[in-house]
Amino acid sequence: MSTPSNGASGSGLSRRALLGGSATLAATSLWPARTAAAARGPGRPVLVQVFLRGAMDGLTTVVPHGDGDLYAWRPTLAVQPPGPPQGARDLDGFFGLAPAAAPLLTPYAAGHLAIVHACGSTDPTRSHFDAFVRMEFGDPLLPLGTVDNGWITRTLQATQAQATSPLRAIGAGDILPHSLAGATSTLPVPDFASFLFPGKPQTAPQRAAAIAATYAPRPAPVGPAALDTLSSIGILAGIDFAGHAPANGAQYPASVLGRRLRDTAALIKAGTGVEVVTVDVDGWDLHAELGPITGNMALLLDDLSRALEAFYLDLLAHLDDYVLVCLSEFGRRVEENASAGTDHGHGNAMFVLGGGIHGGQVLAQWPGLSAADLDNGDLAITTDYRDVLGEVLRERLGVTDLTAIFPQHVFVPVGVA
Amino acid sequence: MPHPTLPSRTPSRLEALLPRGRPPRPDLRRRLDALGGPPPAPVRRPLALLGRLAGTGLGAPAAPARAPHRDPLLTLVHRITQGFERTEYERARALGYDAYLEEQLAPESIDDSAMDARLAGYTTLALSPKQLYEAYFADPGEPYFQFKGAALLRAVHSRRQLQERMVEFWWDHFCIDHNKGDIEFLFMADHDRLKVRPHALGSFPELLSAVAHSNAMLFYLDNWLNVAGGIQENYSRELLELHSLGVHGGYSEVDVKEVAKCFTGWTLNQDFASPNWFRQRFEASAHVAGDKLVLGQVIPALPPRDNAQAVIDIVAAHPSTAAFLARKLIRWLLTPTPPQALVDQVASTYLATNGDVKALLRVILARENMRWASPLGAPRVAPRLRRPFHFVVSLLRTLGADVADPIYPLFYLYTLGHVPFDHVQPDGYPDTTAAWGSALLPRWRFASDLLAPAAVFGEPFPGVHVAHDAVRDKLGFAGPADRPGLAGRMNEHLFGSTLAELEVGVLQDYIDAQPTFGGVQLYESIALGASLPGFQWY
Repeated sequence: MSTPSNGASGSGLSRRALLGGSATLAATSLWPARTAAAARGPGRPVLVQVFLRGAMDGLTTVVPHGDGDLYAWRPTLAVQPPGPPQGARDLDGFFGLAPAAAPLLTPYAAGHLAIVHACGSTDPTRSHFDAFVRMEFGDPLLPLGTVDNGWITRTLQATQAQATSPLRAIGAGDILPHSLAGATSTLPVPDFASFLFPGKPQTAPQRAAAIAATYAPRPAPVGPAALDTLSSIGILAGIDFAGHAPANGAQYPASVLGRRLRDTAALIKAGTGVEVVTVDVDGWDLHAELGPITGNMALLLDDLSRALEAFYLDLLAHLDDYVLVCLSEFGRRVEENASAGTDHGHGNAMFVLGGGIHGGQVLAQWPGLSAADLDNGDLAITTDYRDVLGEVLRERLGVTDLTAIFPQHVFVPVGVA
Repeated sequence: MPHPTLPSRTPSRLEALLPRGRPPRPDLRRRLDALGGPPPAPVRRPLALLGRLAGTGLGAPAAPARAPHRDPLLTLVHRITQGFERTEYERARALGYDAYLEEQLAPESIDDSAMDARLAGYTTLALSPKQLYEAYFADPGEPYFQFKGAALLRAVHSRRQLQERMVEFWWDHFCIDHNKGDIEFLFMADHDRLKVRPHALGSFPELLSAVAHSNAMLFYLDNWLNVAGGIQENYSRELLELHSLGVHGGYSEVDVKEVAKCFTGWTLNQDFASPNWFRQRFEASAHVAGDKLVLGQVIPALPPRDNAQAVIDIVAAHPSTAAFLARKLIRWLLTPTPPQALVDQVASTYLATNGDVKALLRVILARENMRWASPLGAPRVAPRLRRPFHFVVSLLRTLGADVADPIYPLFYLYTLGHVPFDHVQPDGYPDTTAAWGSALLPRWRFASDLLAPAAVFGEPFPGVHVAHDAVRDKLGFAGPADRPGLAGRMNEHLFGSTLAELEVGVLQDYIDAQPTFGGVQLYESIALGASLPGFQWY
């Protein structure tokens, strides 16, 4: 919810005044649409989180082709070393991208995409749903931990003083991710372009006033969300999402992810004061038929990497206006299974895109893939994902006290930003 | 920066089994486009300025003024139906609390021939995977949308309301994604008709076993590929985590692997010549030999076919399963914050009755427990938010709507993120206020578009006929002279007394403020009432 400016629950406005007085309300508007652009400081990029749900296979996406053990564990599934058309696209002589992820070479080669490997949350769970909560709340000790809201929520709280808009964060989807659990001034928006008040314009002010007056006393999330919704309609309605012409020949894929990143780019260019956008991508839980070259995984990677490349190109002139992190709840088992898929694993690859990122490199303390190197059969974690996020928050979003975001974590520099 | 487009999917093990190839994926938006497209965007920038309210101090959270207690029978009707409807409530009152509950607990005794007649054209619901594949492999849209549409129609129109409510619960508990591999639709009708519905109010262990051996689940969680020499643990993990013990229910990663071994060999009949093609089948040669150890109990190697059932017997009798299911059912039927004493009581009933669902429901739905189920939250009781599906269905039910074609209601469920059977992950659509409580605009939009369709469609809402005369009759509304007290009558007769006093007052003020008040304004007012916070809970 938007923090009440005076904290008085007994407002002087009567019910009837609310219903009849839309003109008065209009005249006292605190948040006129689209005036926030100038207020957003140049040093505050929009944080974009792309969460790959179901455990993306980082050993396919960012293949360690320099580690020969991989090919023993995955005789049929491993992406081959660079060379043949179906081989990896080399990144640094040791790691390479799956061919379906080749569009990521565009920002990587330009030095704006950093990859961190053997990365993740150190908790031992192999349950998706347990892992979502622990990773997105930012505490591997849960349910015994000390936090009860999302890491992005705490980031918003820590930067509350810099807020310039009643809509601070958008979950581009139907349901907010756990990382935004408990956040205020935050809404799920499945389709930016249709975030419009329904019904006849003539009665809209009266109906909206009735909605505001009745939702106001309701507890979070519903009551504040209703007020935030009414406050935010003008912000999104002022942007022509359908007419947004991507810059630099960027071509977004015709997928839900493509549309959401395209709309996010339009939002960033419009400078609305929205500080966070999250996007979820389902479908990565490929226990069977991984299909790294032309199958299921390749289709997912193709969509993801094209969408990210288009987003990057579209915002080439706005590199410092965003920072995008892309991660998944855990990786997949090193050894392939007999269904041509992989089961739940541990360490994974993670991506950071944007200006001010030390891109063009894969940051990894590679633990190795020999049987003795593995963590219960899985890629070991040598970089805590909180170190990556923490560095992004400190270096790019101006968060000074990282322990407020990830309590009880001792930060280790990664070098990503 | 052009990159070559990927070729279509690689021929896979699955496709080798599909003699005519993989069917295309149906697309709701495309289907609507063919019908004339989804509704155009409503008011483009209506009230950029109303946002001001957020800063007026009205946003301070406080308990709404409300009556914490209501008639237990009214609460029961709210809880065991897919939405309050006045004539149903009057019928329940005539029967009395216990008789109405017992009637709903015995769905086979309820004449539902009108529902059957309504579904007479939904011929694909009774087809086997083979029949579906042969008839619809080129264009699976028909069975796909019939299946989704039937779920909506049954929720709105079936007289076996508690049965429908439990079927919805089990479809989330044993969630299966309609879109998996583009062929999951082949199995869904079998699963609903042969596995879920017969056991929805029966024995949980039998339901668990039926689902474990169901072609739809074998395909969705990949157990059809689980073979000796190639253990596939996707199903075994979710069986323990989501279907029975719960994630903290006391199993280990070793248990996950051992359970997977027990299920090796349970696969799909892959003989296309057989009428049972793509139904479940046990392949003894693919089963892992030897004894297994699950949750500390030895499962003997022989007979291999019974290993899976032995796992079901162990987990179904486990106290963690009893507690997990008890809590989840209480959440579904009463409150998001189940009282521990009631959880314990339901869990012991589970163990004492070997998981008899009716016995569990009788305990949960006992008259005295209705105090845990106030829509507005009695002291220390959290209210239950309608999920989007329940919101849409409730509104249709209370308006006496005749849903001739469910496609547009399905479209609005799409905008609400709650199309039946479209949840990708195996945990089912969430059932929490935290998950659904922030997305309100699509609810307001559905209410407005349904009841004030002229603004959007320029015609009645397609495929749905609101019972105008019945609505006016319920409201005692013949014309503008009947405005006084109208909001209160709406609350009582349409919204099942879910609106708080403040809301009734605000709604009446809105009604009184309209310069003219005919049918159009009446329905706009109902839409507004359904958009107010009270109607979002039940």
